[in-house]
Amino acid sequence: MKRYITKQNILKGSFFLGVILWSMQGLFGAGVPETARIFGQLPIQANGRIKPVDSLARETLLYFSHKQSTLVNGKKMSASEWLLDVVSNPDIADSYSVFKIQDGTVKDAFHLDEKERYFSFNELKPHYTVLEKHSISIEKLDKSQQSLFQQHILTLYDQLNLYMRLQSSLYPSNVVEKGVYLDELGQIFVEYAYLLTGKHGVPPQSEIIGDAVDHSGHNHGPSSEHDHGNNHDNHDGSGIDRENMGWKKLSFVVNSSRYYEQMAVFKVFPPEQEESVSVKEKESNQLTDNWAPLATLVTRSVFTGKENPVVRLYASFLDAVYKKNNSKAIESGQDLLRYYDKQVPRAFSKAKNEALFNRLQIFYRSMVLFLLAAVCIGASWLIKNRAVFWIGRQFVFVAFGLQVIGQVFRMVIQGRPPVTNLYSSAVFVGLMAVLLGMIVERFFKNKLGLFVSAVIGFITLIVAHNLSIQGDTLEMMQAVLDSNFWLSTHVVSIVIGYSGMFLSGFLGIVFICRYFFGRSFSDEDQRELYKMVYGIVCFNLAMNFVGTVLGGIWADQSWGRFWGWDPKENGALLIVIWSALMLHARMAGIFRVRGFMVAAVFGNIVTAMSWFGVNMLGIGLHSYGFMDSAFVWLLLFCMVQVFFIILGLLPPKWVTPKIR
Amino acid sequence: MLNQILSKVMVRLSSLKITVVCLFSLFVLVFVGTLAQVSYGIYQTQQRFFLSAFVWLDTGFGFSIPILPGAELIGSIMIINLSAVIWTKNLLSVKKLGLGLMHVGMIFLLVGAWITSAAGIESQMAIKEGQTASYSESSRVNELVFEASLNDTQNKEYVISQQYLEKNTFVEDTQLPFTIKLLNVWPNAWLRRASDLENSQVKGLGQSISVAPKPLATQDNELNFFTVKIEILNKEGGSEGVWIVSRGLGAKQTVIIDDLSYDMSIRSERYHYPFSITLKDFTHDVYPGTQIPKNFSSLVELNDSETGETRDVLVYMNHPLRYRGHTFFQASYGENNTLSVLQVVKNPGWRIPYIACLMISFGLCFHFLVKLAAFSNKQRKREKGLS
Repeated sequence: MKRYITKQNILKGSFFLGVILWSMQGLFGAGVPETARIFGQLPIQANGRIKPVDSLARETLLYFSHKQSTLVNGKKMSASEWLLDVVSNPDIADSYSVFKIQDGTVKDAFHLDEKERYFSFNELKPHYTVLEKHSISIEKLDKSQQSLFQQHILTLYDQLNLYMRLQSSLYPSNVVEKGVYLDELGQIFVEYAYLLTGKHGVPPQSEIIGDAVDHSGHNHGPSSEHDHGNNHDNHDGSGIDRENMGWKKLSFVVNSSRYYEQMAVFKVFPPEQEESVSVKEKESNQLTDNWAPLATLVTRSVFTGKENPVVRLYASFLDAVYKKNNSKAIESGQDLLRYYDKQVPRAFSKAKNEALFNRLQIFYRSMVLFLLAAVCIGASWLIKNRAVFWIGRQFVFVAFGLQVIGQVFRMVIQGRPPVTNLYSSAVFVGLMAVLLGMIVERFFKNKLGLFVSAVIGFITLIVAHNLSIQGDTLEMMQAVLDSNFWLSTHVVSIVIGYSGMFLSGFLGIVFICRYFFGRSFSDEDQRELYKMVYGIVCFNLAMNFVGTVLGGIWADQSWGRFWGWDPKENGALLIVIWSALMLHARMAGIFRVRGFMVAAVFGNIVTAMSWFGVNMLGIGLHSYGFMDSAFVWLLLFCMVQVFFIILGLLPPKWVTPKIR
Repeated sequence: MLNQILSKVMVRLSSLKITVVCLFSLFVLVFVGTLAQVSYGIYQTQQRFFLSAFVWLDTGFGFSIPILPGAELIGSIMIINLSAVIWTKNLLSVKKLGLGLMHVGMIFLLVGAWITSAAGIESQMAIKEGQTASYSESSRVNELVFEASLNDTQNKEYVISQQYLEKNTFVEDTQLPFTIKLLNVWPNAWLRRASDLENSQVKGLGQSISVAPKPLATQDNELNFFTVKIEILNKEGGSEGVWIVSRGLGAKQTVIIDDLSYDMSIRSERYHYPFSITLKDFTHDVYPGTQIPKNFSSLVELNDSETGETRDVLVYMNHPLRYRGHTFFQASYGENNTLSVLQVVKNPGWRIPYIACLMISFGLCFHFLVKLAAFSNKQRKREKGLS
């Protein structure tokens, strides 16, 4: 026993423990104030699914600023904290610089500071009307005709609108103290209840609501409150006037409620269920029913006189946050959590888990570890140090472990197979490439498998991060894709095929680099690397063929045709053909060792095109809009591959004459 | 002697170089054929690249040149190449199980693809809620139809397919009570209002219309205005007049022959079935508070008067109705969710790709695993030798 407790092992063990602790720091709620943490856990319904407030906060902030947190007065602020300020204290939130504008022409157009990258709502608000005017005319254009500048204008307009809607998603943004607002509304009810109960021969409540809405024609929002206030001052007194006043007030409540219902980005509570529904059904209905925004609940309490507890709980929570009464805020926040836990336990636990998943930031942490691993393993070649390699290897293992945990977490939350959209395909390609790389490493033990794994793991997670900016990464599935069986067979095998292609392609790059820049690249080393790539290409052909065929069967099952030559199918087919071509050309003697490696690098281009390129086809080749950022990156990736291909095709004596 | 020549030919035909050239051409073809879809649409690209022997490019000087081998040509060469390889390399032996399976499967796949492209028919059946349909319509091909009502209950229809009209100059048949002389056929046309003088010899609506050729539609939602200019001759050979009939003309035109009046028009080609389908209910669910579709489904009643079979079927995403060699898929919807469009596919070769792909997939995986096992054995031995 004792001989294990050496100095070296203690060092190793504590290092390992340190890495794991660093990875899991989200468990301890690091750096997030308690109120924001509570707020982040609350279940809401947005984009058709139940999620925690934290997810909405993160995806919105990502959309605005391309980051999941923001800087306020030089201090880091989490997404939930930011959203809490947006809904509880709009005046302060308006001064936070969260809108990222990179396009210099946009900054010029609105006379914004050239050097700044982030702007606050207050800075942008004065330009809103101009922005709106422009956007309305741009929206009439076909997407392919819009210039890059115009698209950025549209995005900014959309961001500002979303921001304003967020402000009023719980209580109207001009309401300072929510509790007082509720009391005032309650007062209206007490004062004019007799109109609704029909004691004076007036129509019953339901007709009033319909009537009031019909008269208004359209929603005029909060500004009309002012007018009604004036009327109230002038005409207080006589019975008829009072009655008219009452109707006006009631109809104003209904109209503004309609307005805010439509404004609400998220909804806060499921509809009440009938007694006859079984408990089990009630639970599943919590997740699929159409929830109600807070504005609806508020109006309902005014008209029925029966207040939904959520209304008051939210009000006291937000008021306490506004008044910076921390202990009161935490207390009422916890009341709110308890209420959700009691009323909608399934939605509550789902949201809570997802909030935990968000806080852990698993994929971000494994991205960092992959980078460190690649650096360590790369350095271990240069300085020939085994300890550095050992550290790099531990980084790969921990990063891989984290990725597996994250993947399982996602699958549990979503109740779906691993790949459901482009974002998750990027994550999964990384995961599988690392797994394959580790298997290859077991066979060859030459550090290359691990190195390339770490590099691919890092790159794919960067890609995934950039894809996540486009919105909810756990979004609901389109009807056509809604088949867990095919998602878990066809999609998974195709994506594993992608990761194999990248693995062989990156090993090809390693070969070309060592061939031209390496000091000692013996024939034996060359053959070993060649064998690695050959084996992976065989695997790729099998995997990609099976995946493509499963896709064909799925297409036959749902559209009645096995094959339709549509871009996505062709993309998959190109990978299969290229793999088959590589193997046959190798047998025919057309590809020797170096040729085979160059072909493997070309496989990177084929795979990237099939993965992302075909998605961009629809945008139209002849437009400015086509040059969106993803396309630029794809082009850059392909150009790097072309560079290596050309390098690989050069006669060796041109490049390193002094060595050979 | 003959055997020697045969085996020499076979060796030549089984050359790996042919394989590589075929795979490379296919790679280029698929790549270009994918990009071409941006400007030509999926249907035309399929016809030009994947259902033809050559891809032709119009030079603009009145003739076309082949620029790429089409999928039919490449496929045929590959079948020959594959058969020769199986012969010369004796891939059917048990020892080469994996290799044999994948290469034989490949032949099956290519043949299956050819059968599907030759014999498969796709059409669409649009039904409104509560209504019944016993035919489906092609979305691409049209037919010329003459309808006559013999009495209150009986109708007679004469139908001539677009394909026939495009390939012939006369339509003559003993069943047809007249002869049609085709003066002009436009697969797609611009229809414009013209002065009366221009078409004075034309009868009916066509008098005030001038027709100009138009390139075929590239988008799925565009319609080709198939148009014909015909002269109708009675059985004695006398002319009854000249008409322009077009898909772009809404109203039917009438011709009277032997005291019987015929309504002529061009409509989507129809495929009739010995059974009927009634749409009872169509539902379109979305995720709460969004426009993201969650599910489309059609509840239909299948009614077969020949077999007496009557049953309800729910057709929804990934769950088609298969009946008497036809498959009915939920394809589209319209008119405020009261109209459901089912895609009807008749593909006699639909089983072949399943079998072929099963063979290839199994062959590939088997071969890979055998090789992997051999390799890892060798590696282990080498390690033992080293230590």
